Amino acid sequence: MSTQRVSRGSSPPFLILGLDCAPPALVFDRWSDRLPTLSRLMREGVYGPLRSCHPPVTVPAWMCMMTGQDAGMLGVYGFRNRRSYDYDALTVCNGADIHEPTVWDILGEQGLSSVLVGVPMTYPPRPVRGALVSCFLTPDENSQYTFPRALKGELDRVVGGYQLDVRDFRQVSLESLLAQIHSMTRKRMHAFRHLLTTRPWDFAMVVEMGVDRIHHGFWQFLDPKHKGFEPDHPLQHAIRDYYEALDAELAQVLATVPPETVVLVVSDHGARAMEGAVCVNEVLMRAGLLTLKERPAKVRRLTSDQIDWSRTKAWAEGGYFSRVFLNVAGREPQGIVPPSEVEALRSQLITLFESLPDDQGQPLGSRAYKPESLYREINRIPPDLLVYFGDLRWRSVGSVGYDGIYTFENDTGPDGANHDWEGIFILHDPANPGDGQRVEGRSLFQVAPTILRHFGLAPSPRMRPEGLRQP
Amino acid sequence: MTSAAYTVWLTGLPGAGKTTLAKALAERLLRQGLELEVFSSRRLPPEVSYVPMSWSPEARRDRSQIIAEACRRRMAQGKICLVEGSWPSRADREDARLRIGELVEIHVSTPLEVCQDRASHVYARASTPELKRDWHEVPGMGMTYEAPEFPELSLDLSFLSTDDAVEQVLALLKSLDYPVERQQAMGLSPEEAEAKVRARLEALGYV
Repeated sequence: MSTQRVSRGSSPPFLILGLDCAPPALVFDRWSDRLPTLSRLMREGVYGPLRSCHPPVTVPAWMCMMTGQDAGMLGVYGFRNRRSYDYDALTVCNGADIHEPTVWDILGEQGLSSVLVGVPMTYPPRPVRGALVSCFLTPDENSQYTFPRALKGELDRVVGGYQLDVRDFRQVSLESLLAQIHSMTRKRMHAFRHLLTTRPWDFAMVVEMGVDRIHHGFWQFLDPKHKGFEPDHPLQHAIRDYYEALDAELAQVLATVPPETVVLVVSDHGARAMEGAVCVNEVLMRAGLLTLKERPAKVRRLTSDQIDWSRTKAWAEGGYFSRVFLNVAGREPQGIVPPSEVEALRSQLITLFESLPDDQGQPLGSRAYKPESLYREINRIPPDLLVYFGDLRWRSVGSVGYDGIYTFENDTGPDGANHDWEGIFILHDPANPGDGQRVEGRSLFQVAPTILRHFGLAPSPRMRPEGLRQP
Repeated sequence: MTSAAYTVWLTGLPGAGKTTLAKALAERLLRQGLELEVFSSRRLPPEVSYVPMSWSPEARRDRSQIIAEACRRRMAQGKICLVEGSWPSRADREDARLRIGELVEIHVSTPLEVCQDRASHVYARASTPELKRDWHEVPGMGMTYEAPEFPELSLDLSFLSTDDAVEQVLALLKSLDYPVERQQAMGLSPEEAEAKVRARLEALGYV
């Protein structure tokens, strides 16, 4: 395919290939000889693990990366945020919650154009100098998910029906899920190539969610550490085969861009086997901190109407990590924890969670944090604590009605993978070639400064100053 | 919920038929009960104080920015805006799109020779010896007219009737989910949208 829409700036174009959830162990080590495109970029550039943010989850990680701000500064602490101190005020976040300028906002102010496809938290689409196809947080394909709007119809025609995400993740057969993931990736990369070759651009970025979806759907067939691992399962190579197909798609993308283009392959967090799950609200109940009006006869999601708030000091939300909230007098509607006792209670909870053993009585290695210890600034309403069970090896289950505090299934169905702290980066700059060196100690907060410096712009004072080339 | 407000921005050579199309389109949308304002390079927002009526690129840029900001304010009140004029600079129009967001760019692509016949008084400025100094200010003559690269719609009014052109614009607006009549139901409510996303996130195990 020929290329080569002319960029407007004097700097070479900058291209980001985002692979949500791609871990170093698979890309750099296990399958590097099967991934010729990524391996070439590694060989001719520099690469290494990329430390994620708190929490290491798609939302807020990609926006932390593209604004250079932490979750506290963004005021986005996960897929759902508390809008008020009411008990039922958790709502799903989207791009409207992001008020800090992204890299493409800053470049646009300088007259530089961007092509953006699938970057999480770009729904609802905001004006951008260039073209934008938003992300899986779009309600469905009937929504307006492009900027400009007319681009949606153009993409549908070009790729034969654009696909934002896999549908019915837990309802379809694994074979159907696998087919959907492959189809979604092909269409997204086709759309990206179309925009790269028809629009002027200086900065372009695609984020492929298929990597994350295939990990969560199929990791149990890959990793003996997973409780549900089945040796020689017919789907044991599903993830490997997907990575190979993805590598071939990336090769096609690279064939469409000018040879001087700087390429950054990056992921927002890594992946690892889900070794188990802690039923966080069961832990709180056993500690006398959470009281239900009536114990449920079977496992069910915890809802505020089940809770006896007059006898509850703390409750929690599950997910890849746990958010713990305190029922504070004068803050929550029926709060009972005196404000003067909040700090002592948070410290008590940190001790409780961090000392929790695993189901075999061995140390679980959980970590619990007060948000002010993690963030440079706190905006909107943060959780009172963030808890990573087994330092992310175990997930957090928010449902109640379990016999114990451990389970080996996600409360929304089986899950293969949990998130991990280390994602990846591969930086390939033809004007400044690397020697295939693996470097350590980089974080996703170094991505935005790297891009801005490339275009001769200083990182904003709210960003950390160092780029990926600096430790 | 999709946006109820938007701006239709008509661009093209002098004499292309933009003013005629804008008038017919405005009448049609007003008749459907929509609140609408029309701006052009000569018809600036009433809240704007005196702006020198020059046709230099700088003056044109200033006016497009003034109008874009006015559209943004009107749209925040739920109004529809219609902008017509040559607007020969692609960069100026891109800036307007960035400021306005929900903008539909329509290129009235009537060929130059037809435009010259229709607006001979304008083009005379560029060819009459005593007015030669205006040559550089006439788009398509001394001033380059940069046609849009990605307009939402192109309409050649040398063979298309105004009524047909209006129908094409309305069809485009409908296809983009913009309202073309009052109280037209549009998209999902915020609650419905959140419920859909939340269900998917739950299935994925995120929440």
